[in-house]
Amino acid sequence: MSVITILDSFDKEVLEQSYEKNGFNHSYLLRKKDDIIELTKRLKEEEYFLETITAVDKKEKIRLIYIFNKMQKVHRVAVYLDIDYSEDVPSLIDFFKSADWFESEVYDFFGVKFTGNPNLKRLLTPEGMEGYPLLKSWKAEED
Amino acid sequence: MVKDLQKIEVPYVHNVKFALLEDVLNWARKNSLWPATFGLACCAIEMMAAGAARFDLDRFGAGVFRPSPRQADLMIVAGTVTKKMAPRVKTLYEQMPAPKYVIALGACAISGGVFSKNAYGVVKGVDSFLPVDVYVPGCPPRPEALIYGLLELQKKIKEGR
Repeated sequence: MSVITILDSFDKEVLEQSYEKNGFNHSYLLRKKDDIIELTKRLKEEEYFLETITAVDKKEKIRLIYIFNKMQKVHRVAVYLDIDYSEDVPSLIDFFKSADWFESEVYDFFGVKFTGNPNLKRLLTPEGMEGYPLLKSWKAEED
Repeated sequence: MVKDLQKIEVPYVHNVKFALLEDVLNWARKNSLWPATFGLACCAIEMMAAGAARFDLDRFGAGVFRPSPRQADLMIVAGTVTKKMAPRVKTLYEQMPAPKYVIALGACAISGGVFSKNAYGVVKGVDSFLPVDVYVPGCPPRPEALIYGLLELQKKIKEGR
């Protein structure tokens, strides 16, 4: 079963698909955030692994980016997920252990909370940091 | 026998010089600056180049990069000091035996450099928590610049800080 058949069963929007342009064979924007769990499960059955989780502040919303890849033959799938600020997202830690630090990083820089991740913490920013520095609303203190 | 001994000339007696102990010590210190092996970013690459054969810091007695701060007396802060790294840098500095000297190498160590505006994790200038003796500007500075900074530091040490 190819990745297209898997993704067809989800409520989604197909974004620009050009490996030459952005390095992703497939880019999809999921409309329902709970679908990410089912999608990850299906992709894992197809021997995909989680390459990274990152995020972009789009000013009205946060766009989470999940990137999956395959070991046998490079086949990168980007799954986007639009969420509101400070909206909770289900964690992928049950499927991929590596999601732990990816999610901690996204939490660290964007303040997105992942439900089900028992180890969510500020990973990279200095101790005692307030606010989330990669949000557009964040301002550096001038000294 | 005793008479024979008295006849022996002491050839070095005319070469004895008198000086203040502190001056002699400073002369020794300036010619054997041992830097700590310690690099934080791209400036460290230039520092390595300065230490290697082409530029050869050993000519000035400062090429013996020590793997432990306990054996070093010069700290070359080569690179960006992040807020997380700053306490560790301070600890390393405190572990060095006195007298100890600090060179801030590169724009990041001097003022934060390209990270001096809107950065969330960078200390803006290492002089906020270390007593810096010589500032070497550049991004990153050429090895010649580091050597020049070192010579300035030697001058400073010779004059007694």
